[in-house]
Formats: sequence, structure tokens, C-alpha cells
Amino acid sequence: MKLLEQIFEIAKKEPDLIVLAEREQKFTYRQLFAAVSHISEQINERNLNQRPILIFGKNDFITLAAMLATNLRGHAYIPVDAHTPFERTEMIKSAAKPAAVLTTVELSADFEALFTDRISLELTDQILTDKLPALDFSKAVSGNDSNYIIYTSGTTGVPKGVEVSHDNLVTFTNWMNNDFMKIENNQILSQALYSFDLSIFSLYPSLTTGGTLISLSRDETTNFKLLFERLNKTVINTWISTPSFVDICLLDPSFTEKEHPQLVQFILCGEELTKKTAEKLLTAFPSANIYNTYGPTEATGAISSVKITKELLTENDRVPIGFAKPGVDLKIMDKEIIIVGDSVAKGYFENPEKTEQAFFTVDGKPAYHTGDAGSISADGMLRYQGRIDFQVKFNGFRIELQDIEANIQNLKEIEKAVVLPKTNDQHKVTALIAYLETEKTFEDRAAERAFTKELKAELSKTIMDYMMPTKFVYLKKFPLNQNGKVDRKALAQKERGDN
Amino acid sequence: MKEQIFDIIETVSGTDEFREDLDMDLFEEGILDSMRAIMLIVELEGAFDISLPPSEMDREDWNTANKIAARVQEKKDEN
Repeated sequence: MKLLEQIFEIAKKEPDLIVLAEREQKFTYRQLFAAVSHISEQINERNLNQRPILIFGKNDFITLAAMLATNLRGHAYIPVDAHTPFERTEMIKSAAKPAAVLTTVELSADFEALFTDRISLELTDQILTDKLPALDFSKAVSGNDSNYIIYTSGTTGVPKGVEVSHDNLVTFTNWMNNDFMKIENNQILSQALYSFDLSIFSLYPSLTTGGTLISLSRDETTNFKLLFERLNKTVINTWISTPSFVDICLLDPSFTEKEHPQLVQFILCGEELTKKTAEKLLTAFPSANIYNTYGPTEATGAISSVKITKELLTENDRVPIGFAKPGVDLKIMDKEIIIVGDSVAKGYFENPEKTEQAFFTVDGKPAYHTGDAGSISADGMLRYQGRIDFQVKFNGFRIELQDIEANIQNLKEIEKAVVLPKTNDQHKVTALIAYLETEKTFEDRAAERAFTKELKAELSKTIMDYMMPTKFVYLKKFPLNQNGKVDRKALAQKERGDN
Repeated sequence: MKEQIFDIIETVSGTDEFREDLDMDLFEEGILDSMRAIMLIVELEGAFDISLPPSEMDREDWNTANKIAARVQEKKDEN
């Protein structure tokens, strides 16, 4: 059965079950399919080709409905968060050449001009009061059809689209449902942006098992007072987030088992879970089931998991990333973690060159070079040992440092840029430092500050806000190593003013 | 004490841009974000022996260097 049909079965059985709760409003499975039907008709009226559809919106009910409606019409969707800078959105649009653009937010003038042929969606009273519609699933995505394309940081400064099939998503969802979704009327945190792969942990397992998505808005995730107001009056059973988001919550004395007795399960993914965070979480929620999971966007959500226990933390210097899910084999080739099996995505959308570099086959099965260094012990436990390239995870966000560098180098008066991560004793990136080679001399600190400010303003048009370097260091000449390449180690020692 | 607070903001954010205008919105200017705000809380709690639960931190009350200094002062006075 297609994923959409599975979700529709839930709606038929329990139409008035809450599918998604926003801060101000709750929506039912019936309303979800009323919205899906309505949006699907609007798509149908356009007589589009079968290329993917770009969806520009926030994390909310209408955007979720737009994604499902797109799949119902047989298109893959490309989720782009409404907070994405203009020029970056432009890059994604011109790479993807979507059949149409659906928007679920108000647009500024430049975005209106970019999305001239858009279908603007809004919530109407009709959607909210409609009966459960009859739907035809014959055109809906299935099998190897692309389900979604998520654009992620690319080394050239242009984002690349990871193309995930319906069956990739099915194998992930089945695994989640079998291993983690056994809670009746499961209230599941939906914090990750839909434009990130982590969001599918919440979305599809919840939708296919009759769960409720507890949807956090950007206002709530960026304003602690609002965040805790919501968390402290909302029942959540299954927590899904990055470890960084857990770190925020653990700082408040209210984030404990005593205050949240119904919060019984944590699934963490998206970046390395440090021992410190794991220990703190175990202390705050001693009887909850806490899982560390691992997997790149290119392998659909996650492909391994392990339950965090005191013993596990005592026995390991770094928190292990777990055992492979069914359908996946893990291999180590030249120290690199290779993922083989049914979770491996189709490739990078219409980018054969990048696809060929990272995707290959092992014994006829799809395989992916993760770029992660690791090891597998005899019992099958996978351990992560860092990156073999210049990709970092910063606050849970995946960033190619070369993406930032390429976009800085496009700016005037900058000869060369190197961005280096600063890490703490837990292997966690705490800051990004940009080292810039420039002829420019600054009269004083005020002049340098003014220049940095201008540079940041320019840079913010092409890179996501979470990619913005914390600090900019200007040098006349970069230190070089014996091979004539930039000496990154020496560079890391340089602070401002000593060129 | 103010100077010490500003030093902490500078360490956490990696920039001293805000010193030109102590009423500049640190979130709008990209000087602070959620994670840096968390680091700031931890540093301030340690330096001044105060408790700053995030649940009490409305962004509007914490978005400039001057406001942060005022909040820390309030907390110290409560002790």
C-alpha cells in the first residue's frame, strides 16, 4: 500500500483524531485530507508536467497538506523553508526547475517576483468544515517514484538535492513504526524544519500510526519563554530532535521526568550525541527510553539506532551510533562508513557528476559513501569517529565548510576564504571562524567592524543564517604548508591583528 | 560588572560589533542565536552565581547588551 493510502486509512477510521497541533490551533485527519483534496485540485487545474513541485512555507498544517497533495498528484515535493535567503532560494529553484511553486506564507516583493507562477495556498473555512473527501490514489507516488527532494549544503556553494524515493521512505517508516511507535495515541514532537531530513522522523511515523504531531513554530523554537510555555502545557510522548535542541531544554529546571511524566521516549538524530548530553538526559528522565540514531539525508532519515543506558555510556568514550536497521548493511571501506541497501536514496537530483562521486553499488545493491569515519565491532555496533572531509554539524545543521567559503570568495575584496570549526572537548562544534585573505587594511577596529558588518549583510543573501561564521579574521597572506596548500592548522592559531 | 557582561557576550558571540550600540538587537543582527544564547546563559550563571532559567527568558527582554546587563543586575539583587 502507498504511504498516502496508509494515512488515508487512519483518516477513514478516526476522522476526528488530531493530526497536528499548532500553538493556536489543532487539526484533524479529516481536515488534513480535505486540505489535500483541495490543494490537489488546484495543482490539477494547472496541467503541469511531472517535474517536482517546490513548496515554500513554514512548519504548519497547510504546508504539510501541500506536501501530501503534491505526492497525491504524482509529483515529488521540494520543501524550502520560508526563512531561506532570497539568493539561495533562487539557486534551488533554478537547479530544480520545478513544475510549479506552492507557497503557504506571505511573500516579500522579491520572492513574489521569483515565484510569478505560484499557487498561493491558504486555510479556508471550507477546508476546515469539509467532510472526508473520496480520493483517487492511482496517480500518487509509489515504488521508485521520487517522494521528496531535500536540498542540502553543497561543496561548490550551490545546494544539492537529495532525491528520495517512495520506497526509501516506506522502509524507513516501517522500521520506525515497528521499533519505536508502539504508543497508543502517540503525541510526537515535530520540531525539525520540513526542509530537513530529520522532519520525516516525526511526520511519516506519526501520520501512518494515527499519532499527533506537536508542531513547534519558529517563534517558539527561537524564543525560550514561548518554547517552555508550550512544552509545559503540552503532553508529549515521543520526543524527536537534535541533541542541540535537547541541550536547550535541559538548561531549564522544568525539563524533568517529574514535570513531564508522559514523555517516555526520546529519539535523537542529526548530529553527534555527546556523552555529556546523554548523561544529563538520562539523569533528567531516568525511566524514559532514549535512542541515539544515525543516518545522512542520502540514506533517508536514519539507518542505525541504539538505546542509551548507563552501562553503554560507561563502556564507551564516545556514544555509539547503533545497529543497522533491517534492509541495510554497513561496511567500513578505508575507514569510511558505507551504507548499503534499501535506505540509500536515488542520488542527487539531475546531478550525475555528484551522484557518481557518492553513490555506487555493492553486490548489485545501492550504496552510499557517507564521508563519515567509523568502525563496526563484532556485535555489529557502529561507532562514529569524525569526518573525512570538510563537512560539519553545527547546532544540528549540516554544513559544507566549502559552501560558506565559496560564497565568501564571491564577495568583493576577498581573495581567499577558509572557514574552520572550533570544537570543544565533546567533539561538538561551538563556532565557525572565517579566515579571509584580503589586501584591505583597516585604520582601526571600528573600520574593521564596519567592513565585517557589510560582508555579513552580503553573505546573508546566499547562505543560511546557521552557516554564518561567528568570527571573521582578516589576514594579508594565508600560511602555506610544504605542498603549497593553505595550512589549516597554522591558520587556526591566527587571531585577528597578527598578520 | 557591565564590562564583565559585555566581555562574556563578546566571547560567546565572537564579535564586539555590539559595543558600538549597546541597544542593538543582537538576534536581528545575527550576533546571538538560540545556541549562542544558551552558551551565554551558562556563562552568565557561572560568572555571577545566579540562576537564569530559559523559561523566564522572553527574547524581547534579552535582545540587547544593555537589557542583558539589566536582567543580570536584577537577578543579582534578588539573591
